[in-house]
Amino acid sequence: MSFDVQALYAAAQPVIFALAVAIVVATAINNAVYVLQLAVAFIALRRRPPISDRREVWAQYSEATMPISILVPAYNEEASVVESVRALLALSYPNFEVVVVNDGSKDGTLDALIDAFGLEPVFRVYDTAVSHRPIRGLYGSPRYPKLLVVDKENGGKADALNAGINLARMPLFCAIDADSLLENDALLRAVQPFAEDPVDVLAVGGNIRIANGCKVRAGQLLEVGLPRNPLALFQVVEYLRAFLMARLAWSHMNALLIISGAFGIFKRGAAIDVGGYSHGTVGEDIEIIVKIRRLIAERKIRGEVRFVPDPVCWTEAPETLRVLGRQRRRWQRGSLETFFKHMRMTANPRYGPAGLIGFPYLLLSDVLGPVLEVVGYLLIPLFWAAGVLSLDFFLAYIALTFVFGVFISVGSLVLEELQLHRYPRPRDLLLLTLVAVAENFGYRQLNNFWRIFGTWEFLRRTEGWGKMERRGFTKG
Amino acid sequence: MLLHLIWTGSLALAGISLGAMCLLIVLRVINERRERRRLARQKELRQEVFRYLENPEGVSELVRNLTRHDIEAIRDTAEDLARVIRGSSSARLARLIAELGGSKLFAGILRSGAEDERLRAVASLALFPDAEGEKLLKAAVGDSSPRVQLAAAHALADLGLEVSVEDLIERLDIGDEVRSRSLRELFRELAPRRKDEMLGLLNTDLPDMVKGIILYGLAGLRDPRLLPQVMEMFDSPSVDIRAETMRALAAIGHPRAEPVILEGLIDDSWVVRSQAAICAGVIGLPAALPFLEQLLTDDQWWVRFRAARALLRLGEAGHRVLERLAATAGPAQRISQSALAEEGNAA
Repeated sequence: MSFDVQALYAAAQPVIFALAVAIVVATAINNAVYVLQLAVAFIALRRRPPISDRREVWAQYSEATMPISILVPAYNEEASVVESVRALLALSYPNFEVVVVNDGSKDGTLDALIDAFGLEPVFRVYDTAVSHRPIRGLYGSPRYPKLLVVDKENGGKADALNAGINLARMPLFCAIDADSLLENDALLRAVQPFAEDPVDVLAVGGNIRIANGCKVRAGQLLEVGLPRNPLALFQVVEYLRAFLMARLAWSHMNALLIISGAFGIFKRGAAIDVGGYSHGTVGEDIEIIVKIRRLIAERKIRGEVRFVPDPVCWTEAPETLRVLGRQRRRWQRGSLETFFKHMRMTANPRYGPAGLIGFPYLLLSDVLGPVLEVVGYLLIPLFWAAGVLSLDFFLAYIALTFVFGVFISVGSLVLEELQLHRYPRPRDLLLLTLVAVAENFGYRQLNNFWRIFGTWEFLRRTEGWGKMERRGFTKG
Repeated sequence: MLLHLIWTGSLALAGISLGAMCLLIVLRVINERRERRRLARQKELRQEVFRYLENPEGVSELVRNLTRHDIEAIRDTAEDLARVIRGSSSARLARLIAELGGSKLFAGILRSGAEDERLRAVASLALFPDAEGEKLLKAAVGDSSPRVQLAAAHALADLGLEVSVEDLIERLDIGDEVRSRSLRELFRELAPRRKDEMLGLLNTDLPDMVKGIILYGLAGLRDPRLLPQVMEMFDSPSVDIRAETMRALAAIGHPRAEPVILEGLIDDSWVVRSQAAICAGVIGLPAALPFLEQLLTDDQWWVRFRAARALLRLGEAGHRVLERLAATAGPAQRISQSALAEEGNAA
């Protein structure tokens, strides 16, 4: 059989060129969306309620708050749970309760809580509105009337949160991670959208920042700092871009589809109306928001999901490639699960901006994005080397992928410094600027490879959380 | 051409963002130095303020050669102090701010400052009241920012100054869409001085939302003489108003409200039934017993929960109902058992 390489090459050339153009166009569209997000986020930050003086927060906000149940799902958190709960009990907020849900921990999480707070078995009337694994016992103490500890069989984070929703006695609940640090006035600030519009606002997300490198004592953040670990440093910039730019922009356009599981406040009734958190998903934080969006559209009710940049929750970022990779693969699986479960919302005007903007963007950035980007990394240089693509084409791709990325990363940092100034030292800003440039040459690409693996795991129906190994906060 | 544009455009944008960030870092360094100088000066001035508090006659010495920044620094110190001191020292601080030309400073800020500065000025005026400040606060109710308007209205109410509620409703542009909890608290602050006016407004054609806020404000007075007007509001077709009526009746806590509360216990809206159950428990209405027993099998958990709590508050008779139901297999068994068990925690 004769094999005419030249003829095959000639025949394949238009296909190769079309593929290369498709990759570049998709990258350009993605970048255009980033520019839009940056611009909208800037406007949103300019228009946010003008309160920056920490002394004023209590005076201005405390009168008009709503009671809130803080739900803390805990699984094998023996080492840190007591300190976290103490910090939560000391939060600056007029009326709240802390509901710690021990999700069948295999370590001494429950015993640590019982010992530290002098807990004893108690009874409590509770709702059965959402499903979860059986509760083994409730614990409380007259010394800590704001604290309730729920001991239940293991069922995962979503299941633990559902138990917390049933036990919660307040009209709002705040879902946080057991190892997250809420700033002292974070609740007061985050609850403001509910206070301003108690009827329409159904969920509010707060800002998440990386605590690695910050000084922490007794569950309180003493000093903001930057981590020394390069992976954690990259994540500082990454979180700024994700929260300060993307979430704020989508929130402003009423297209927000995710509130971080580390810090989100929900109207209890709305969470119950959507059946609480879904079991068997690793992306329960994105899924519940999508379900709330569907509830709003399908029942034709008024409702809003907002993100507010001022209240901050600090979380520990993974510092090893292994743990970070596992986290990113899980996030990717969560996004894909939610997308395919609710894909009918895509470009569907019935769902408003969430359907017309949020879902198509999810398709572009989370479903197609990683694949196209990785395919681009591999093929475009190859095609250029093979002489199929011109140098200009190759440079345009490099510009869109790497150089434009620098603009977006540094642009997010500019937003941070223009509006929030949370990093106290100029040298921190300088370091973050360098990191914002550097993350586009290696870190971002690595992330995309992890997301491809996450997509593969999704296709193979791999389940489970994986273990997050924590080093603990830097003691102040 | 397009490809070339993409390359140069991206480079230009990246360069601009990096340039902007470098500029911001330089500005940060400059601002930090300025801030250090300001804090050092503020420390000096704080000592002067303390000296003044001990010897108020020294004010003329203090005001000599002060810049606007100095006056603002003294204001910051005075504001910090005003939150923790009372009596003659507080009055001295107010006098100091007045003598330093505080009103003029605040008037300027309210005229042309940014929204956060105007909010701050309103807070300062509330801390250091004088006749000029009162005028400024009244004018600030007409500010372009709803937040400043509301803060000024709160300040006027806090200071016990006469403010027409009707005028405020008009100036704050309160309509069906305003649901701010801060606004509700404002009406509670206004109620002691404007009770009659607020009662009169309940009988006008104001939107239900506004009437609900007025009811909330009046409820804070806990005055049984308001009962007839408050009970009348239960005839409203609005669920919000009926629920607010129940909240108000619970706050007033008088058994004369019984007929309306019993109606509330069989209302079509679960929100109203739930509030009525709270109300029956707070007042302790024996006549509500059969209604509350019925509500233990309500579709809504919150209604069942509130009914069980109300029965517990009704004393022995309520306990007997719960014990009977707890011992009987049926839809009310679980809530009755749990309510009794939970009460056992406290025992």
